[in-house]
Amino acid sequence: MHPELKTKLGSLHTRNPILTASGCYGYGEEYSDVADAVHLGGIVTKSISPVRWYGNSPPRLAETGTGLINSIGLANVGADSFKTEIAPRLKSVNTKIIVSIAGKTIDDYELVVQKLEDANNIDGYELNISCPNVKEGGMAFSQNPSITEKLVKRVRKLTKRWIAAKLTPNVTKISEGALAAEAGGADAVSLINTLVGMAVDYRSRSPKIATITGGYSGPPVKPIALAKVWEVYNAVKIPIIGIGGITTWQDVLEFMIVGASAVQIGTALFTDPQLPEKINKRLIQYLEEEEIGAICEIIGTLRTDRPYNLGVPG
Amino acid sequence: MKFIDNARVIRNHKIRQDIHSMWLESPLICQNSSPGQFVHLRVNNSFSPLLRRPLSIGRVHGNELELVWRIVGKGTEILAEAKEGESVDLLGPLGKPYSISEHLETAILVAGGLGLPPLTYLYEKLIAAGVKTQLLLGVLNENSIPLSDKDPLFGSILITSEEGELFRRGLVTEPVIDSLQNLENNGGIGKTSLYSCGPWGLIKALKKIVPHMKLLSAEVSLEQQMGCGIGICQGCAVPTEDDNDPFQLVCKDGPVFPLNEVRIPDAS
Repeated sequence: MHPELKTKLGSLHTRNPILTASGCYGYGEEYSDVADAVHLGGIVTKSISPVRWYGNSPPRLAETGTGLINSIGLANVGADSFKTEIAPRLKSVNTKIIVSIAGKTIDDYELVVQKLEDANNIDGYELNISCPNVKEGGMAFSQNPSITEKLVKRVRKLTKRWIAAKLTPNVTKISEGALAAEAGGADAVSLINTLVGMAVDYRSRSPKIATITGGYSGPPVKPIALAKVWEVYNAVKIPIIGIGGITTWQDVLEFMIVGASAVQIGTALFTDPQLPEKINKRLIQYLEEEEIGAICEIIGTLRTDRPYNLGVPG
Repeated sequence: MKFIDNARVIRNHKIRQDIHSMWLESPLICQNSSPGQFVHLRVNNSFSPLLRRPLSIGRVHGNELELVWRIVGKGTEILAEAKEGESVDLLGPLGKPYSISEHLETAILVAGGLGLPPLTYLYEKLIAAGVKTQLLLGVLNENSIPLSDKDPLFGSILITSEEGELFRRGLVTEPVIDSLQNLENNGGIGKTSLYSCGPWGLIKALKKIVPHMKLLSAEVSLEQQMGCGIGICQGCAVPTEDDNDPFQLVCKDGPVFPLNEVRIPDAS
């Protein structure tokens, strides 16, 4: 009997627990030459705003250690172009398509949903209320639980489609935001978005990206993301999508053990667009070896009664 | 069409000081690439360094391609250690190549330092197509020439050097002006294209010279810190001269751009 990788995020069922994080897989088709979407549980698109956004001034990227600071500023084609030019083609992309939505105001989020409601090939929305790189809206929504609840509630009224709220880690208690999203009617929460970070060139005494600070992602953020998922898992009943620094199959298991029902891979896709396929193969192998029938069985199975002492680092 | 190919290292050697050259076997990329395009490569199988490194495709001979780079950090240092027979993960060919008009009779190729490799590829292609082609290289001194003096191509390049006495002393823009003026005087300028790759200082100088000449076309190749390499992350944006469309992506809209569309960043 082949172990089962299927997972459920409320009403959204995916063939495996690996989705692509917003901003890291384009609008869905771009990687089709080199990676087949059939290996993905789902794709979360680049965030879509009501009109085209051009993004922030360059430079927009700084690799720092084994992490990445970005300040793209949500450059995207806008809801109308997405609907007429891109969405129809997504029929050929064989996985669930979650459209990420961004806005400067709550009205913006409503506007995008209204524009996309009758577009085909969309399986749900992820509300990006946590981008650290825009002046208006963005992360500020997710930093205020009452706004989070209001925003989710207003979008909820406009659609029967699945909705997730993507939360910022740049707060004292992320579970307050998660509870607010749940109260607003979200089907799931995605966490974490990037951490506010900075890279400086000491020679020129200048910041390495034009907006001075940006969003920090990549393998170094994983321990923070795990802690945030664990905190939220102990607070809400809706499913959690864990995000932050995933590069291996073991990382996926760790996120699921602390309470994620699925994960998103982000920055690592730039380096290896075939990573989800490779990870899924290893997950199957692991489940077979451990005689676990379905990956869902490991969700939230952290054994707090028994810390595992690895001894000295290998 | 782009590919991910584990290309076998045929040869990897130091050209001088911190400049290295590697020949890799990749039929997929060689058969589908054109001069000006690049590969986005993984220096190892880990995520440290985190991102791929973009490198221009240098000369292509059959199923083998050349990459040339300067060691500037951990990634390029690891790449310099790759042994013959090992494989390097290449994503490519990526980006827009130099455009070659059917009316092209004369080509002036202007490289600044490490901008030479894509122009060596273009040079060999144009020469094979019967185009009168001049390859000019400007360097700071002999240690920054990204080609071995034993290389068969070395003698075909007109080198200008800001320091030392071994080469024509001065800036590469001086012979560029001479060549363009000759072409203008003999009526060939309208069937001449200028192709360049080099630092902002060179592009800035070309932007002052070229608008006064009635060239067939003038194109430059840019570089920028890059994430995905295929237009997804929007990380490698550069400013344009068009206020209605303020940014272009080096990876997808470039790396080759018409010279008149390129805007020099304020800090340069």
